[in-house]
Amino acid sequence: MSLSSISDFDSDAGDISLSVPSSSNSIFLSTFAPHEPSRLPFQTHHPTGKLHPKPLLHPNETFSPTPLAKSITAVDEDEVSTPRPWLPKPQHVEENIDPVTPTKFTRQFSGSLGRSRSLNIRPPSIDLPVPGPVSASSYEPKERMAWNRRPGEARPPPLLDDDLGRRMGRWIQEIVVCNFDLERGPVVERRAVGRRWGPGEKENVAFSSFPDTSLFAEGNIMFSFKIRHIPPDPASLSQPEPLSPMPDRVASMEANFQGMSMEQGSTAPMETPAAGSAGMSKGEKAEEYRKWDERGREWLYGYVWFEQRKDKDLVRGYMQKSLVILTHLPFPSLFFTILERIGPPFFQHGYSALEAACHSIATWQDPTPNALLELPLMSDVITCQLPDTGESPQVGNMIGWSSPERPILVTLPRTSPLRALAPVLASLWSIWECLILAEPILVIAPDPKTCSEIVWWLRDLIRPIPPAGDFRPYLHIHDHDFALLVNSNKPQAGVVVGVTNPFFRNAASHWPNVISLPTPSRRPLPSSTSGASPRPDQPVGFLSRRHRSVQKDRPLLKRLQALVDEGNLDEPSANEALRTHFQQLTDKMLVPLNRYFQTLVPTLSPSPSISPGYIPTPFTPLSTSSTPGGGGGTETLKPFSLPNFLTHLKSHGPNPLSFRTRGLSSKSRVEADFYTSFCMSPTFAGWLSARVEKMGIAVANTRGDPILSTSGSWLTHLAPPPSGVRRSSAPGVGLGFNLPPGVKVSAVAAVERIQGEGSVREEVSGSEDDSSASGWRESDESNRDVLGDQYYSRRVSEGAVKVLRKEG
Amino acid sequence: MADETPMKAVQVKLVLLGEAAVGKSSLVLRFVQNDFNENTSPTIGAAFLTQRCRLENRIVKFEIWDTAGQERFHSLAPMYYRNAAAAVVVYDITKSASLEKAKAWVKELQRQANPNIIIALVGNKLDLVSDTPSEPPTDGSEVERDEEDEETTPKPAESTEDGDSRQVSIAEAETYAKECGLLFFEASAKVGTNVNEVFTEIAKAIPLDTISPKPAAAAQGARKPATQAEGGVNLGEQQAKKGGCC
Repeated sequence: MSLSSISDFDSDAGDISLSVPSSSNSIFLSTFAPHEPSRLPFQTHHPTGKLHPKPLLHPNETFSPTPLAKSITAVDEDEVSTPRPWLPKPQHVEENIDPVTPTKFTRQFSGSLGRSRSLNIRPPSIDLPVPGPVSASSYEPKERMAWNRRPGEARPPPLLDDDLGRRMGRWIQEIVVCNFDLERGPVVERRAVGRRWGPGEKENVAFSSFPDTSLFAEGNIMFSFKIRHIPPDPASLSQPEPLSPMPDRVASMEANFQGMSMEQGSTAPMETPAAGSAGMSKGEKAEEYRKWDERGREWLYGYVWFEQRKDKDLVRGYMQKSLVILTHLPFPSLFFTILERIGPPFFQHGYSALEAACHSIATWQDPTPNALLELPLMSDVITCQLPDTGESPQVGNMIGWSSPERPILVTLPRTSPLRALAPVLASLWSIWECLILAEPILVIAPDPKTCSEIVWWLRDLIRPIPPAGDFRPYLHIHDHDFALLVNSNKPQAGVVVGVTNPFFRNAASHWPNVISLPTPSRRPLPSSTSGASPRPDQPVGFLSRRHRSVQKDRPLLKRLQALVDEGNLDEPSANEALRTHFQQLTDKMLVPLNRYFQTLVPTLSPSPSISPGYIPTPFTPLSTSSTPGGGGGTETLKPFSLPNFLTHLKSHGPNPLSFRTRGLSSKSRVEADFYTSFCMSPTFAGWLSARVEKMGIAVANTRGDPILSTSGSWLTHLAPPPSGVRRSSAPGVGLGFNLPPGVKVSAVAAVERIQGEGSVREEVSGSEDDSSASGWRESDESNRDVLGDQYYSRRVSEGAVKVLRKEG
Repeated sequence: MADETPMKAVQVKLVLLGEAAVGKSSLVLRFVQNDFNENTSPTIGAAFLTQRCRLENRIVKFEIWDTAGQERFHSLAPMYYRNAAAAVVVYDITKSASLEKAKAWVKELQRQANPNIIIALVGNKLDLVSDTPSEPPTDGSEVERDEEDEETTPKPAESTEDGDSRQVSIAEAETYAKECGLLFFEASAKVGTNVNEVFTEIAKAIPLDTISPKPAAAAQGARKPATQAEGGVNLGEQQAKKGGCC
């Protein structure tokens, strides 16, 4: 094989490969490979140091076909008991050198993960998207879904031209097809738009798009993941896309895993690929991650249709592909509906189906808050209801197909809540408390669909409170942030992580709250080649150290349990009841807080009788209370004082939320403790910020001022944003709405922990000028912005929020 | 669309099929927006448009799937015609090969689509032949868009085939349509001839009463004989009093 053919072969998509130097080094590959990993010396060193993907040339010499399903199970079983992805297993790989481009570089590194990348530089002429009516599907292999480009085969053009890609980008940034390539592991086979990858993004997507255990011989499954969207370096945009992102990534991954294995990798050095990250220290990198959402950076949601089919023509014996929608919109049920429409035609007819779908999507109306939209796609029309810009839960029909009468509520997951949460039904109240109090939760499930659906439901459960921490429907061990989210340290507050890899059972055994679902019973094979850890007895259910404070609704639980027992998991009214109950629970919980908050608002009589009651998204009282233009001077939100609040709580009881007695503690004591914990959690900060922002909007509304900021990150991707609306990472921009000069409801909320008192006090300081008056950030999933000279830093371990003020 | 009557519209899923560049999208554009675009780019996959029409005392909402003619999308077509209540198979009267393709589509529809599907065969680009030979469906349709009354009335016919570019004679296509039980029209998307008529006649031919969310449930009889195209549709007892599209 010549060098040039290698680079052709690898040019567009893949660029990531797995090499398995010896057995059971990579759990990923080996769980998939129905062959003895040890028999796969994929890559050998050419005398000149070039890689040769051997099986590409002589696949049949290397592998002997084995009975499929059986071997899958066997290998999987084997691997399940011995997941050791962190075992260091140095292997030297050199990257390909492209003969065409003068830029030659050789890099050497070892890959403990068994990963190697081939860094190929392709001639720019091939790289340029071919505009015009070049038939994308002229490359389409009829009924050859396991298609891969072969050496010498040209790169396919994008399915869409730039303009269509932009229009589709309002909804979907990219649709990629990932293939599990026997030689290279998970690779991105093709992209619809040709969107530029950020550093490392391609690998992240490819790995996250496959289940990491084998699930079935043939079938399909839908799940979702969430990763950080890392914009490509602006400087690189003018140049042809580099072929392999993040040159140092593998090395750093290796370092991570070595660190993990030695039980020391708390702030393991994940490559934070933002520009200039090269010189970052470990701590800085962790900090970079921590501030990611606070600065309103973009997340990328992946919605995956994974399909596995037998295919005798493939060495592996079957095809494993994923159709992946990448988008900034957190609308699982919408995108799963889309996948249900696109997936089958795609796997039946190939890329022309995908092309047709993309063109349809490009014609859709803009995603508009609160809109009821009819979106034509693949011979059907999807009717969907978009959410408003805040966190309020979408209400209505949860289950079933879209129709004009029953639109899809896009923010909900696809499965019914009862189906998703049935395994932990009795513990839901404790789980709800964990979410409210920003306790980290790990969800271990047998497959990515189950864990991602659970995580999405947990995320919905506490609306309208924005989630306090990162949530990951399906976190893959190859994710950028894996080592930051799951390491030997205490997990961050508020994170909710869904995983499937059994590796996590040990790696995250110190997590305080774990939802553990049993692996479907498979016969453990005696031939555990690596003879490692015996499968631990898997405790199942909700494992937590938490003692529940609120009362369960026993009649509801009984009703739901009965349905679970008879397997009637999609019963509409019960599902509605389940969701409504927890919404009301959240609302009830907020009543005293809202009531107290009102007393902090200036010009509003502090009389407690103005309680907004159960309404979680009130604000008319506030808007009217701030007299337009009046006041002129220094209206300032009073500080939120925890002791005062607790007094308020006590004096205005009984409060709607019912608590239980615990041990010797009285109900009111439990209640006070619960609210104290809440006020010291990051969830509280998120709630307060959303609250203040809403008030600011209400004030602005009263005055008829233009509101420059809207919450809801998904809005900001609408093109083109009016100036000033677009959220940026620049300090002070996008924080808020221009508050009228007179009304200084400044929201610079300094929630400060006062050590001596052990209480949380919030200072709401008057703003010095109007620009900084816009204090609070939008409240989508935990976005808080850097505000001028202030920023949050979450003291996660303390569960307190602190605002540091750098003077000068 | 201004008159939004409280009446519930009957939804009719309609699919356009035919060889590439015969003018499927142009026919739809004329019907839906009363517009014509000289240079349109080829449709990819399928375009979706809707148009509400009033037929007698009913509102018909056409949900039109305008499919791509290019061969590479052929395999997707079943998805679009699967539940369609009506199909418009288009050919280009200046290109005889396109009629062959149309016949292939008709065959496929009759084999695989909903057995009650209404199929209309439409020869487009009537404006390209000098003497517009007519089978003007002058009766049966006072279909007119309010704003559009441009005078492209087909000249009274003396149908001869001396038309410079005509390659498909009316007789040939009409005979075929009769044999297969299709509605038949020659039309011009460019000038608007017969475009509304196509859709009106289809609406009349569909048993609207039995149509329900599932178009497949259309119980009543199969294809109408082609003669119905010439008017006198038994369904519209009153001759389509008001077939104008809103």
